[in-house]
Amino acid sequence: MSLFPSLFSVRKFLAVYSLCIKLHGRAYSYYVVLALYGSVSGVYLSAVYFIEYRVSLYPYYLLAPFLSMVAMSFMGAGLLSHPLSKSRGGLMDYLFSSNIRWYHVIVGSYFALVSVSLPLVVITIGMLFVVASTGGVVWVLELSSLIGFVLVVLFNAALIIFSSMVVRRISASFAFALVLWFLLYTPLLLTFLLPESFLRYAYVGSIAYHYPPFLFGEQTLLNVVYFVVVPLGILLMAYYVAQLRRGFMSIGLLFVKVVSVWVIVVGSLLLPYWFVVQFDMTGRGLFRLSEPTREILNIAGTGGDVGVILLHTTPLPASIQENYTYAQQLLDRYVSYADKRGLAGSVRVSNISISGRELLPLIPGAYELEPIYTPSKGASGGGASSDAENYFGAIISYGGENIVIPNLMGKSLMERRISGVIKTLLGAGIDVPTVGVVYMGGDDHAGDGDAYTGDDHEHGSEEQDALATIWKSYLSGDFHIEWLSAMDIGDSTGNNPLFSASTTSGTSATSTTSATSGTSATSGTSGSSATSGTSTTSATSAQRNLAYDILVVVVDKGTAPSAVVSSVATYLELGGSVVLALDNVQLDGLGLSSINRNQIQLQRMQTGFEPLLASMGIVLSQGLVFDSSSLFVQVGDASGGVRSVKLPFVLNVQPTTTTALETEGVSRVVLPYASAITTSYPFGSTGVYEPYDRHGGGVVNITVTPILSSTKQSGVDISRELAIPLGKQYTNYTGASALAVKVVSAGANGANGDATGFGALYLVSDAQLWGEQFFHSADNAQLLVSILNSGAGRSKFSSGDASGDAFGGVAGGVYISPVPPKGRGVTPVRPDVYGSEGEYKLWFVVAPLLVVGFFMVMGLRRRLRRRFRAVSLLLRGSQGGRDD
Amino acid sequence: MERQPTSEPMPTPTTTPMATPMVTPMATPTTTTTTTPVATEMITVNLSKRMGRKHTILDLRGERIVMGASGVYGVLGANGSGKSTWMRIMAGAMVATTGGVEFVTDAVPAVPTSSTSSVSVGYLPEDSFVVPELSVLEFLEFCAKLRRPDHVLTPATPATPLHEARRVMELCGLASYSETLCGKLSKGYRKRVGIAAALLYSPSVIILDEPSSDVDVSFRIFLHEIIRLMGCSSIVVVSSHLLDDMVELCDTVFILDGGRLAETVNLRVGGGVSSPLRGVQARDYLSGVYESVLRKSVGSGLASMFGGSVS
Repeated sequence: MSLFPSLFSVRKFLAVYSLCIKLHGRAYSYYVVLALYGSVSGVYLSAVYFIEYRVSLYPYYLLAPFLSMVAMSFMGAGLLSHPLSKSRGGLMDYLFSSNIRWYHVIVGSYFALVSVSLPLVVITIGMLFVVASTGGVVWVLELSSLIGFVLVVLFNAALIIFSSMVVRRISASFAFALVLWFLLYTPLLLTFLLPESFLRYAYVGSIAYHYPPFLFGEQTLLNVVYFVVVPLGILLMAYYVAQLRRGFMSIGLLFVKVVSVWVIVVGSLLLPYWFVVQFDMTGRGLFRLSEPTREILNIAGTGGDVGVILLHTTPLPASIQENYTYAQQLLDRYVSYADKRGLAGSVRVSNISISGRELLPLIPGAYELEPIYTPSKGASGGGASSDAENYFGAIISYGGENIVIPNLMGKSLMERRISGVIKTLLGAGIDVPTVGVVYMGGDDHAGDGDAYTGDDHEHGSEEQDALATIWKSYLSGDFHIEWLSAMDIGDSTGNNPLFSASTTSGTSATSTTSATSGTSATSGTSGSSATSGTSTTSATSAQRNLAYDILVVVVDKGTAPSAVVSSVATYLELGGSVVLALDNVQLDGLGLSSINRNQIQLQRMQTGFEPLLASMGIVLSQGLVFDSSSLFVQVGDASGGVRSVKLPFVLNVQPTTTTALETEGVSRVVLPYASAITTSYPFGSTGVYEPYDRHGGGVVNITVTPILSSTKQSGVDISRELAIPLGKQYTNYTGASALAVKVVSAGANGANGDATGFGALYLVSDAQLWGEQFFHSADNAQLLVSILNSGAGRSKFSSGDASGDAFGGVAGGVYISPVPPKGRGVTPVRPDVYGSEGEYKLWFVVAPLLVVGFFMVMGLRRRLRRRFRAVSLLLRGSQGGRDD
Repeated sequence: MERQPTSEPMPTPTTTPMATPMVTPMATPTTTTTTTPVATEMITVNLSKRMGRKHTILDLRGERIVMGASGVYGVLGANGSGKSTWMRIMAGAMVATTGGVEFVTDAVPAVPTSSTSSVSVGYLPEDSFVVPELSVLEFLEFCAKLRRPDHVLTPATPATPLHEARRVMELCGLASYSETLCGKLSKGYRKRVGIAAALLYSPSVIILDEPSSDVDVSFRIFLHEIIRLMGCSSIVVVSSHLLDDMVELCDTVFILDGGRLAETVNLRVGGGVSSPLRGVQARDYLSGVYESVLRKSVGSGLASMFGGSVS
């Protein structure tokens, strides 16, 4: 007996097929099942909308396989077991006496079941069109998802045929099919039975491993082969079981054949597993490496192995959370891809934590990482605090450079973020930089709204040391931190530590601060003036304090006093580099909880710097922008879920045609984030505000250059190599803005001979409300920038001094702006996605009803026709032969 | 192994020694719809069927039973004697554990074949096999699709399944029920539909498992007529509990007991006379043989139960 059945007569297969189709088509329950499927789908999508305030097919596609399995099991559970049962045993005898073989029966039944299940796909397409009416559907991705769904339907049908053959009773067959499906869908059910090492292999063989990539537009040969070969193997098993049951085969032979079949199936899967062939249906080249990445790979790959450390933020997209190995497989494929093309040299993925990976910085010892701590306030001892909240992260030595893997669970976020910005600003060119820090707010979340007086955040020496440790890790060298109080900064009596000989009046209540450069930017004089309000006071004798290489101003909560703003503006105009870390959002007193997160209130805070920024053409969004999708789904991760340290794969450094003065030759990084930072000049321009005349006191040339800029161009986001494909609805997600502000004032800084300074606006949102995913994204941005700085060929970012045309760095501040829920009184950021609320609400109510109604009518029509026929027979008096 | 007749007088046995297979080509069959090779003989050789390791439900090992063309053969036996198993095996619905069924056809050269695919076999299973959801016409059309001879084997194009379904419906008196769902039919009419399905494309071998059960007297008469008619051109095998059916229909009756062939009775040349047995004479003769078989079987059963002989 051969392993596979011989070729069979199509005619007999068709006879069985048509019989099964008729049996299904005449079953009233069939239409009920279809109706239920449609209505459940509609209700589910409605529920998704009402919970998440958005419409997304993605969760539906995750549910659809299960729904279809239930529906198909109901339809086909008794397909073979019923004829096999006692009551219909004669039918099988008759079939076999007609030279029908089991493969006729099985294949015919299989395709019949697939055919009658196609309405499920049609209903799904209907749902797609309903969602499409709301906008925001990426058709290429939907097509990919549909292909995946159809393949799952094929898989389900094979499974049902098998269970139908194994189990006689219809109800038992139904249950058996579902249990079997769950076991094949994910081996997690076997977690307690199987060792972890085996689980991974089991996972590779599961539906959950091969189906989700379709939803992301990834069509790999492996996945397609899986959904073709495995059902074939299942059908062959059904065939063998049938032969066994009819006495055509012994158990021993059955065992041999089953083993042989699965050897062939696994062999068929290994081939595409090793030789990766992908079809990218994302429309964004998600699974193709970009040219810059290849360049980096080329560079990195020639020096030997490149270790890749994969991290990701805690809340991963659901599908990926469930798929431990997805991210690793993705990286493996990248490596395979790169290897095959000779691009990557010997790039190898290593040190990837499969389970508990988010804990990597929490348990550094397990990964031979060096932990770093920041002590809590008042805690004794600096380096080994066991306070988990102050555990900052771990340091990985890589390529002679210390890389910090931040503790994403901790609360020392502000320090971490700022340190990242400092690094980007200073680069690696200053041996012993000095950082002046004005910290207003910090962890003091008093919420009283008081203006900071300068001593709100007193850092003890231990904390200073800890911060120094952290920042050193970024700055790869020693440096000094000098803590400055806001009171000192706002001092107008001549003791201002930022600049000397200031005669700023400092009495104005307004924050309008100006820096003038005399009459000409080229005058070469070092005179500057700081004016305040109407009392213009000359500042020609002012000199920037060169003790600080960079000034970091943190306004975490509350509003900065106008005197501080004025001083910072003056410092900036004198050529100083300033990092503004502003938080313009405050959480209300309720705090965040899972219960009231929908009712939570945010208040916009005036940081005090708004007028100054506005004078530079920088606008902080006045509206609070929330992204409800990030609450429940994945936007936080979609905008950078998988993070990588020194991982070229996850970066897509896209060159653009628009290059600013400072960014000439530097690739522009575009992040798929929404931003509250906008500029009042056309995007893409250099943004020179010239002349800039503040209060008629003089002209200052101010150049505001967006480095990390917002965009809606779908082709320039980094999503393709973030290793987390963005949700379909985020294709055109508004980009982020971080601004590098270059202030050019003529002869402002006599000490340096040039008035050129560099400032960075770093807007943070420390509202803490939607989890930390926003900050993770901000961290991502910093990582991007830091890699941009330190990566191969990026040594251009070397120094922050003002000696010439050297570029001081790039600010990586990113504000992740939550998008408002539709109808919550805030303008949506993505109207093209959200569409009309009322419209699709109506659709979701009407569509299921239409589906239900249609199939009900179909079923009733047949029933009525039969009734009518019976009546006509009675009228004709033809009753003979009928059971009375 | 040669089997000796167990009852006297025994007509010319249809069970013959295995050593000399009978291959007798016959003339072209009288079928009007197809020219599929016609089975001229059906030979059961060394047949047995075992369920599980020990339970043998049919044991015809050592037997070589030849059923020639143009005859009606009966299989008689008590419940569990292996009738239906044998019928299934002959119909190709079940695979024998040992041995098999060979068909000698009129094809040239005439070589025995063990495959039912080369000959047309009509089969009425013991269990009802109609599909309740289909109408009579649909069901018979479905069966006709399965039974339609392959083109490669038929020089002439066979009738379409629909035409053939209508033909057998007419033949079996089902024309007025063509649109009636099979599930709505009475048991007798379902059986009638089954018989019609067995007659599709005028098979050269027709195997009817308990055709007379659940049918009324009028249809039984009709059924007998059809069987006799088909027996003129085909090998018809009928199993039944009823002696009357056997007597009226069959030329040769195989009596099974406990899965073994207990007796072979030729009613046409039996009873020690040259002329065929008819009516009461044939019935008495068959009844006598059958009774003796049953007594022997019951006796051995009781003997094994009580540890002694039972007369």
